[in-house]
Amino acid sequence: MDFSTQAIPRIDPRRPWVLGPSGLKRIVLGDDSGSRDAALLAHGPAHKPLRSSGPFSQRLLVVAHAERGQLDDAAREAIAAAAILAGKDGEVLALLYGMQDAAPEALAELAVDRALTVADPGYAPEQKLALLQQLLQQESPHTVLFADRSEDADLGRRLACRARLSVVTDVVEIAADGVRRRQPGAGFSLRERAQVLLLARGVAEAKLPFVGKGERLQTAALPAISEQVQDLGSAASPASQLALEEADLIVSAGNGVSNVPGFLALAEALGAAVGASRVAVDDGRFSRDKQVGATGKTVQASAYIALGISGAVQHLQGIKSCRHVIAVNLDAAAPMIKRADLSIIDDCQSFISAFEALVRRERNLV
Amino acid sequence: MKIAVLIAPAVHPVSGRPCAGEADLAALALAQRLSSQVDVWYAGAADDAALADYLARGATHIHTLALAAGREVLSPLAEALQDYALVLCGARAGGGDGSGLLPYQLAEQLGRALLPDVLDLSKSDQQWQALQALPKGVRRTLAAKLPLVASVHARAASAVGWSYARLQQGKIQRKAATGAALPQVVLEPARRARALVAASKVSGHARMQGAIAGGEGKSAGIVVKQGDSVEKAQVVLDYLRQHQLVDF
Repeated sequence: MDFSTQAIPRIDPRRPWVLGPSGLKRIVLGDDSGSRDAALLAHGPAHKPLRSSGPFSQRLLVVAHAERGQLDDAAREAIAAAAILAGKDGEVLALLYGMQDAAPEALAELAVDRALTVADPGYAPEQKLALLQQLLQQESPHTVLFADRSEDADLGRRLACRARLSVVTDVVEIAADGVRRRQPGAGFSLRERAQVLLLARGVAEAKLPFVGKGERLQTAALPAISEQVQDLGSAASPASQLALEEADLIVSAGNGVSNVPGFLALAEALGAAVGASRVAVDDGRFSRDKQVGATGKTVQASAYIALGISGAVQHLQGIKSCRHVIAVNLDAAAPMIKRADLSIIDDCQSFISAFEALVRRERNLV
Repeated sequence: MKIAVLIAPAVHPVSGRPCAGEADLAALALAQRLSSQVDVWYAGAADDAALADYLARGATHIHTLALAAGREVLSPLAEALQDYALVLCGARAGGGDGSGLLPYQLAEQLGRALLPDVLDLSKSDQQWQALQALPKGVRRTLAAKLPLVASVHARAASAVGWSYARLQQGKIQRKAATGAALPQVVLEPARRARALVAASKVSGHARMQGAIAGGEGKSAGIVVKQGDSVEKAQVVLDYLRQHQLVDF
């Protein structure tokens, strides 16, 4: 039989293809247009749609303080909660302290539709309250959301008490039938949705599939109102004197660190708190109160430098809320390397001495 | 100077029985360090047994404004505390609502300045200076004139140890009071809270692609293998400086 004369319908698997409406790759017969590069699809920049283009008939306000020009996870979750609750005709308005340098794209990425960015004046509750009440009068949002931690929690409580708004603190769940808060010793309590909500961690998933408009109101200055309480300045106490849970910079040692005095000298030079993994604590190299992880302490430092720690799941649990993790390890396949934002593949002993010498030189300690 | 300290029974985290709250004990200890005339106040529905822990931990005399359960304590407390120049309380009660709202409401009701999350108080000239605890070990110094309301951070100072003799000698004086009824709350057993998640309209294919690529930014960890230790140390320092994590 002569096969060459028979017309066999064949499809070249490397033909150009187009992305179908279901998101699947489609090869259209007889069509030469389309993409040939499969890698483009997998790793192309994720294009997120706009949440809602308006017109808006109602709005929610989120108030947040940024730290070093960036919002932390709690504040991001508060904005995400507002964006999810807003619906099609709801606008997400944000009053952000300390984010005056943020680009409109960054604001849009946060799912904020309109933002008022103000330089953070430090401790100025009366001025912040006056600006907030001014904003409430102008925009009349139906709900004001805060993250229930540090400055935001303070300002939220002040606002609720000053403006006599209904308030629910420690909100752990926002549902259709109301909001749930954690009640000490009594599980959850169900309340009606209030005008001011102070949100605990985990109320909303901070990762959103959409972006906001990211417009910016004209930056307003804080109204000049005299404060009852005077701010005499703040100081960060040296991390080495702090409890591990409170420290902002932690250097932590694991099994890879054999030269403990050298490690402690590095921590002192850096002004960092000392942590350790379970292995290092069990060995007796460090005391039990230094242990970080599921059976030890849960830390929330901005920077966590893990030296010679492979990163067991229990240890990673303890550093879940650390912003920047730097790992130094000989094993490039260790789980800690996957978690870390910066990984150095090196021997800990030589790295510690080099890093200590560098830090001492830079701080003029030698 | 007369100082008022507000206390409330907390719920013991393990046994669930009423006990003294950490922050309230810290407030009591701070007040006793500042002055010898310390009046301890409580408003609410708790019985004497629930307050006994405070007697054993240093309170000699507790003034109780006895209210029925589910009544607001703010107005009777504000009335009782008007004559005190300095009112201290724990930043958060470990029982009841534990919302941390009372110091704010009280300061508003009494028309006074509030010093939140205080670790220490001291008098200098005409002003009082407070050391405020902020997260990540930052300490702020605030100054204000009397009259003041201050909420004391749980980390402030430890109270004296538990003593049976003090428990026996301590007195609780009850006085009936009335407050407005609070709205009923529905209690439920604790469970895993459901987070709000945005409805995503992307296809299953896109979701699988996302799962392969990993979370945004998360997969972008930098791995440095090249160079000797000195160069690598410089990389770490550059990273710390770039993200403003160190101040040198």
